[in-house]
Amino acid sequence: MPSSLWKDTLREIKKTLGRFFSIFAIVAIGVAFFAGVKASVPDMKYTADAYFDEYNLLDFRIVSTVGFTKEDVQAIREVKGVEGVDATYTMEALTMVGPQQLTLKVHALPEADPRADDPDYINQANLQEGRMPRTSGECLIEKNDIGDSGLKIGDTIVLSSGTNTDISESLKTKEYTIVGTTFNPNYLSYEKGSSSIGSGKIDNYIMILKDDFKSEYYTEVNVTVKGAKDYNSYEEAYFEITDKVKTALEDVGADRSEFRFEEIKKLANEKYEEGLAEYEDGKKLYEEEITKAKDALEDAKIKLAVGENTLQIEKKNYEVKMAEGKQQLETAKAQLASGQQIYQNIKKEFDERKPQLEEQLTKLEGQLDTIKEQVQRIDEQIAQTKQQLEQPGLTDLEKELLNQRLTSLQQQKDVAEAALPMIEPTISAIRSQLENTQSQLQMMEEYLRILQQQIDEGERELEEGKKTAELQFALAEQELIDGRASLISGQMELAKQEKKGLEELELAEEKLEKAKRDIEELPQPQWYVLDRHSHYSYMDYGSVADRMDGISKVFPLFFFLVAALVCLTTMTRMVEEQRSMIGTMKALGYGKAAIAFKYVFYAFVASVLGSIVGCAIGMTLFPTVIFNAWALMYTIPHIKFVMQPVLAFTASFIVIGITMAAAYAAVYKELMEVPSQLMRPKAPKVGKKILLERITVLWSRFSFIQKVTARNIFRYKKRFLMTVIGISGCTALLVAGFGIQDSIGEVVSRQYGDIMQYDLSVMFDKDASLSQKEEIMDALAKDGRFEALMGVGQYNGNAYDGSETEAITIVVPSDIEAFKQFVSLHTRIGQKEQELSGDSVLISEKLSMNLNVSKGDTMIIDDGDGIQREVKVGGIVENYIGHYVYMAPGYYKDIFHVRQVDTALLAKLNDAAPEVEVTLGNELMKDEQITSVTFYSGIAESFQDTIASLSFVVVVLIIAAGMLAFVVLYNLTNVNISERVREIATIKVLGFYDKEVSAYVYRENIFLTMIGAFCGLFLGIGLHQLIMNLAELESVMFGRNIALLSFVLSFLITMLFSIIVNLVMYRKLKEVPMVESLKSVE
Amino acid sequence: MPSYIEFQNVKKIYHMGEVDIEALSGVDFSIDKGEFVVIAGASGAGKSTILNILGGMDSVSSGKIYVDGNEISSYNARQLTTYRRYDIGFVFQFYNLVQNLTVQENVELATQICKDPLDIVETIRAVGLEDRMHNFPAQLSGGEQQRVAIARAIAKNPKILLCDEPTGALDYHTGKAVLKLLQDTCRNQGVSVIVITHNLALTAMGDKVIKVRNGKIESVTVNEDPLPVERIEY
Ligand SMILES: Nc1ncnc2c1ncn2[C@@H]1O[C@H](COP(=O)(O)OP(=O)(O)OP(=O)(O)O)[C@@H](O)[C@H]1O
Ligand SMILES: [Mg+2]
Repeated sequence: MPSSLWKDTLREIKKTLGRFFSIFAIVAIGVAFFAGVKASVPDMKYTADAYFDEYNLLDFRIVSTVGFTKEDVQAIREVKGVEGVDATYTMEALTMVGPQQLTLKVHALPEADPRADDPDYINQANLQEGRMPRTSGECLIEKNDIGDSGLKIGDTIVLSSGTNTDISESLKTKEYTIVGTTFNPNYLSYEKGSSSIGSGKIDNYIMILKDDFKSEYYTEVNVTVKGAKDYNSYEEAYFEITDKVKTALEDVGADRSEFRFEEIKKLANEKYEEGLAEYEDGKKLYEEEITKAKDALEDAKIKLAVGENTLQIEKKNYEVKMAEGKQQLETAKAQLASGQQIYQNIKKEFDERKPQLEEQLTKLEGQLDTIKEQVQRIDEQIAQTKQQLEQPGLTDLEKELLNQRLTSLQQQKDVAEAALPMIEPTISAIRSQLENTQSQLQMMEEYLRILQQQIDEGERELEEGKKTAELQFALAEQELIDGRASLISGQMELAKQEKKGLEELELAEEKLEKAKRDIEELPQPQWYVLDRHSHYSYMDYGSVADRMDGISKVFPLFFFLVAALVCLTTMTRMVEEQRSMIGTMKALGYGKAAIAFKYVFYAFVASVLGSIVGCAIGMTLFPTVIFNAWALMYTIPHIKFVMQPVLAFTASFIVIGITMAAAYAAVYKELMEVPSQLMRPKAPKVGKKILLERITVLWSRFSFIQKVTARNIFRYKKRFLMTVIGISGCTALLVAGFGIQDSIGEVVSRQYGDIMQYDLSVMFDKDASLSQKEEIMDALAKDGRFEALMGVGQYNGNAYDGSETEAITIVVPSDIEAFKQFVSLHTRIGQKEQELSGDSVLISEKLSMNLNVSKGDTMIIDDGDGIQREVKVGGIVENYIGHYVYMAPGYYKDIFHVRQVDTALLAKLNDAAPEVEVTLGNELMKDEQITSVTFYSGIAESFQDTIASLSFVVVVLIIAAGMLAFVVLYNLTNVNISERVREIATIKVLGFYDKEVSAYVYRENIFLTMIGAFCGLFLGIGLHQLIMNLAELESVMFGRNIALLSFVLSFLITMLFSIIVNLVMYRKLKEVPMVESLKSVE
Repeated sequence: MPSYIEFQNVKKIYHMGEVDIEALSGVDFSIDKGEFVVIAGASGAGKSTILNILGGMDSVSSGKIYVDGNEISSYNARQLTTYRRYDIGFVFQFYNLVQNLTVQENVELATQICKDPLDIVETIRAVGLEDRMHNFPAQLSGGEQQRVAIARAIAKNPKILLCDEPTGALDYHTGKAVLKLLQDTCRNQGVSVIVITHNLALTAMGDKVIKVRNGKIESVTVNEDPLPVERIEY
């Protein structure tokens, strides 16, 4: 090329650095994004592969249903192409850390201090802290930064099998001291796949010495392949090497497994027989117990009847006695009454006769006294007479006389005295009559009193007897009622126990039948030679890397479009400015190609430089950022970059091609014109009425400046497009960025708040009987800390999709209605409640996406036993963490031929405070029938931590958005200013202040930015959706919502970017010289 | 008491890298209010420089300029803008209409920022374009465009109307019509009008003719009897 052209181009670049920078920057950003994001995929895979190689990750894991013998291992070793062979053991075990149960995978280290260069030392430990195990009872555990298990070096863990068999059948010791922490290429992620015991998910792994296992057979054989390390295992070439060995190994497997089939079958049959015998025993025992209980109840019934009879008789007796007593009393009372009557009669008579007798008596006594006085007087006269006789001197006559007198007196006295004995007995007779009657009356009185007393007493006794009798009867009756009640409850209890027992028996029978069927269907033992396609960590990490590839397909398209538009507007302006020069050159005889060359070359230089810078920055920055982001969830050491010239060149070529094409497109139109026309100033773009002006109502309301802005906006379509697309991209990135936070942030609250509304779940021991479970539930139902609880059947199973399987949890509620207050089954969109029906299952949304099934389809699941069964999907429910299949008990029975049994308990607490949870957890774990207690507050927290660390994505997106906005707006303003220099100069001359000038120009920018930002809000929703789809983990679904605030923020930040660019450009605007206005039109 | 417009030893030196170009090397003249002044001179003499400085679009290197008693040579950028806004009307050689605005809107663009603008429609009618009010510049001829530019300048109701070769891009008749418009404005509204021209024939129409040469004033001639444009032939 002529050197003058070179010079011209270089001078042009120097003169229009801003313009050059626009193209350069957008190209750099586009390439950086495209190449950067795309390069991170191979970088991630290469890094992982290097790590795999360094720690000798297995190429094959051979497993068999029947284990491996030493002969098997020898046969494997002899296969051509096999390098290292590690016949080893793995098992799943449970351990408790506080109230939390952990499910561990136990791996074996080949020896105490394995050498790293030993080819047979496969899946080498990448020791992080501490030391390797040296003796039995020591172990390594995974170093856990996230989801801290609370275990540290020096702790001792106790393992249990989680099944019927004691762990000591598999391990020499069940206590292990942690002596070191490690990583292992076998487990890249903190998600370690599913387990058949415990929670259904492996939480961590430990590595112990091989000698601690005491199995007869090796459980698996790890194999490495010669020469496989030379290839990246994420590339096809690797599989070309390993596939050959795989076929050979499978052949060996087919030969060897024939041997053991019969043996295994026999073993299984024996086990079945054992189970059967156990079942029979159980049945007998059950029947005996039931009979015993029934007999006891019968006895009780008879006793009760007897008691009732006795009471009846007693009552009758009592009544008779009472009647008798009353009768007697009545008789006594009658006696009393008649006695009183007689007494009254006698007394009356006596009282009547008494004064008469007493008068008689007085009279008699008066007579008596008179007589006695007479006698006395006589006596005195006698004495007088006697005395007179004695007197000397007495004549005889006198004496005679006196004697005579004496005799007469004596006679007189005798007469008187003779009357006396007649009176005296009469007196005494009367007197005694009186006395007699009196005493008779007294006696009667006494008698009557006693009688009264007796009656009173009798009455009292009667009353008392009544009282005691009634009391006794009441007691007896109460006793009878109690007896009856306890009889009824006994009968009910018996019925319940009978039913429960029967159920349990039936269940056992069903299980036996299932076991029998399983034995019949027992597959021929087979070796499964699992290559890395079946390696969980390898695939998991690979799919994460591939998802980044998806993202790298969207972004660049967008950035390239913007790059094309930026280049087109820039070059169009440049060409317009140089019309006359193009015309001159044409006139001078330069060919079209030569003239176009300058502009295309200009674009070329800008885009080449942009590509170089873009590749250099993008291909280191993006892989690093992306790798580190995933490193939060994966245990891979530092990133290793892999040279990707093809990618770099492809990206560069595409974008260079685009810009050059845009440049050519810009110059093409001008080239078509004849020189004379070119030399004349181009007719300025005709001012036109825009559509908006037709709407007079609106247009007339516009201020003058608004009208100008509106016209300008619609006049330059390319610029309009570029700005709107670019800015909408910027806003979309912001919306997506903030949206990611919203969606991820809400996963936890939706999962453990809106969907799973219970606070804890309690797993029953596998062997807990129905009644034991019921006991626990009854006890907890009475516990005031629980608001509600219910039993559910939870089974760890798998869902199948061709070769893929997904670990699922089958949930079968005991009561569909009650279940509604524990788990809300509803669709995500519309929040429509979904009912569990008798002929279909409800599945969680992410599962439906992974398996690509929808409502009405059928899908294949098992309940952990590997036997696949078809179920119909009746609905898809909102769910974010884990895969769930919900089944009504009836449908479960139909499908699995076993009835629903509660294996776990869901509970809501009245107060879910941490202290309450700790004490409750400890209490519950004391029950032998409870194997684990899970509180969801804890899970929610650890999950929150994990995803919070993803917020770096937001930062990257905001930076990208800022750069995009800056380049686009800078370019827009630059082009606008350069095109309107005359206009700007003119309005300056007209006396517009600087502020008014910038408002005149920027109004357009701001308006376009607003349109772009507005469009970007919608674009952002789509972008967000896409990123979420790509970034989702296997078993976690992120939300799809974006908070209103995020939209507002995105809009505001976009406007802020616009304002920043405008401020930067303000200087340039200020410096537009007014003399520009005097120049002629170019 | 200085004149309405007064240039006192005005110098303007452009620095072009190493070399200094002295566009004006000491210019002195004065203009009265309402005068129609014609500035003439050879190409590169410094005519535009004088006008730009007077119009507040450029600053002096030394010397003083008074307009209506104010020393505008000492104004800062903002004061100059205000000065342009309220006192100056500018008519460009290449019209400098905003392509995206109709005739009426172009005039509005100027009037909306002034204190005491003339009636837009009246002004447009005065330049004879009432029928083209809603046309865009591209739909007008050069002369019509220049008349719009004049209308825009006049509508601001400025004290001074500056016209840098207003007829430069126009044919003879159209040029005359434009000049007539300017002269009428000067006469009817008492605006000081300063017109730059190459065409010495036009000097006859000025009240005052200032001839510039090599950045200096060659002569200032006061024309006692300026001719109306119609009578000038060139
Ligand atoms: N911005 C500038 N930078 C450098 N020199 C300039 C600038 N503007 C004008 N000059 C120089 O100043 C001198 C006077 O220029 P001016 O534009 O005033 O001339 P003029 O008389 O208007 O000429 P014309 O009739 O050709 O328009 C010229 O020599 C020119 O080269
Ligand atoms: Mg000039």
